[in-house]
Amino acid sequence: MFSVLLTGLSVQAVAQDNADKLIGLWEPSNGKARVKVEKIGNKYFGKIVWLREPIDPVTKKPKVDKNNEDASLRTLPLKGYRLLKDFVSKGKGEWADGTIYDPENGSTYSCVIKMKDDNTLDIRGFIGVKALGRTDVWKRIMVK
Amino acid sequence: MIRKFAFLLGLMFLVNFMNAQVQDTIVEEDFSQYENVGFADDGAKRYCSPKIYDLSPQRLISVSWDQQLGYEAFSSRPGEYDKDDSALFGHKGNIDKTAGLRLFANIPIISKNELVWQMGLNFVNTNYDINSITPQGNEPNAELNNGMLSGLDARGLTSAGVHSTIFKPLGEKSFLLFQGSADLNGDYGFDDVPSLSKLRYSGAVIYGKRSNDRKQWGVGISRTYRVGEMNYIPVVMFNWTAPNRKYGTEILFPARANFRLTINPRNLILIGYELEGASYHLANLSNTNTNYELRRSELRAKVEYQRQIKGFVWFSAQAGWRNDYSFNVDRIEGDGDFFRGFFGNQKYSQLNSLTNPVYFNIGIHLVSP
Amino acid sequence: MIFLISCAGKKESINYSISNVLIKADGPLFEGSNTAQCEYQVEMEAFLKTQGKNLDQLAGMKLMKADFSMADSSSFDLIKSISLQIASDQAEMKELGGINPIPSGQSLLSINLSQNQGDLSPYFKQKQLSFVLDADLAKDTSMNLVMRADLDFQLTFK
Repeated sequence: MFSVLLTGLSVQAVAQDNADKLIGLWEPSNGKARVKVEKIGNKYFGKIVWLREPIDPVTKKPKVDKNNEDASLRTLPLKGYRLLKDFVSKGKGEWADGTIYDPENGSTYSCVIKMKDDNTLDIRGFIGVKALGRTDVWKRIMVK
Repeated sequence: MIRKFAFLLGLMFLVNFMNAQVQDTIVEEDFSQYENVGFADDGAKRYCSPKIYDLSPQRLISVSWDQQLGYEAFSSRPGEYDKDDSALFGHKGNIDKTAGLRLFANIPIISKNELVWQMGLNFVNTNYDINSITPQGNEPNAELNNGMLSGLDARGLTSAGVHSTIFKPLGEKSFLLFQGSADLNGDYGFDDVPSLSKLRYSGAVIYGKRSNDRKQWGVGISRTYRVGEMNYIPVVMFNWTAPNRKYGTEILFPARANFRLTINPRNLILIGYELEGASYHLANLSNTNTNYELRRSELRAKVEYQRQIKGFVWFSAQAGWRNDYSFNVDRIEGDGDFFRGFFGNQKYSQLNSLTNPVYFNIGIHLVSP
Repeated sequence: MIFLISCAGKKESINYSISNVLIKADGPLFEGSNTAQCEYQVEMEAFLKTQGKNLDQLAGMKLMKADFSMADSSSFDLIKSISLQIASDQAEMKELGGINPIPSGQSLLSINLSQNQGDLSPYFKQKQLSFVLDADLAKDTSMNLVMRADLDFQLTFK
């Protein structure tokens, strides 16, 4: 019984380790931002931690979420903004049921994440069905 | 005893595992550390995006109603005419309105950084509400009937087609754009669709550069029916957004050119023009050996307002002035088409001239910003 | 917890407050965005019982006010902005509001509430939820940061 208990816990621990592989620092293909994925509760969230162009050329101040549909949130800073939300591990290197936010236009898309290898993600944002979407490749970043 | 000990050990393991899930988690962020980073392995290859900032959203599915208000149509008797002939017009049609439904779908097949491929369908129905066709001039024996006008009144015009667009980035700055379509145009309904030999093919290829997030340009060549008949025309693309992101241009000359005012990411105004055209098989006038094609082309000067309704559903309303570029008829022996271009001297079988009314178009669209 | 009952037409509403929620970030902390989260054990069912109601009758819940103060009564001068989210395993993370910039010299502030927070009752029908606070610091500090949150909600019933 003890070995069965340990085996069950080991399997769960391995599954958890694999799910936690999403945690870390990632860069989208356009190189404009870096996103840190962290875990809150049992879900995964990604926060902008670096912007290639952090200053708004018009206001000359740090960029804020000026395109948010919710007017009351438009003064909040972009650096630190959580643009990946609510991802749940589905196993086999896939995380789903989450959303991705595009601060360029204030739109939120449904999203799935697939890990192609330990350092590469396919992030697909879509509208309603996966067919109506676009895939971007994110690469893992290491802090030197 | 050993069993009890083992069970207790397992229980402790389980309790600790569960407790790890419920605790305050505090994460300190030293943002400066994210400056000095490197890729874990090779970085992602970068490709230019098909878009720049603030372009009007691309429509995935579109339903709209298009209507032109009253105007007159002057139609010659059948014969042989040069385009600039000052023909004696045999008939005048008083048209109360020209209206119909337009449906478009444009669905991504492949949508990745290194390739975007979309395919779509379009359906445009145009009904002519002609309240009178009267003979004109003082020529004796002017026919009382005008087959073309009465045919339009009875049957209208229908256009249905498929199209495909491929955007292929060639690295971070340059790209190729391919577009092709096949359309079946004519005075038909669902019960008398013409044969596929009446398909008309168009296409374009553009080489372009995306200079930065606010500018994109391209040059290319197209085979098009926008002038009413087949022609080969150079195309120029120029999409640009001002640094303050309040205005810009969306140009694909000569098909369309618009100046854009961006009120905010969910409201915008376009001011410009669009050149619409197609060649329609007139089954009403044609027979087995001889086909008649209506070469229809119109230039629409317009103001258009686009607005998000909710989520990815947008509304558009445009109004403007429809200017007749071509409404002449060609007679073609057998199937297929012929090339006249800008310098050909083939004769038209019927010359028509339309006065220019106001038009409007309202629509609902599912967009991909 | 404070409650008030009001009747407006057919929908009954009750004010519900959560006071003294301590949201902590242990030092050292760095310039920029720092995340603090607090696991909150929900006591809604017990509270509703005292009102002669149950969870099924809870039709809606909205955050009406969110006040923050520093636990040591100091000012917010070290903090440039804050934003508050609510999250749980069974529902999406939601922005509740924020304030940017924080005026200098403030020791008590009310954040601007999100217009699109929607109905928060699904979070409070569970046993546990998380409050996530993002605080943008003006400079590094070795101190702990302890903030006190007082949240006022309005509950509506079927």
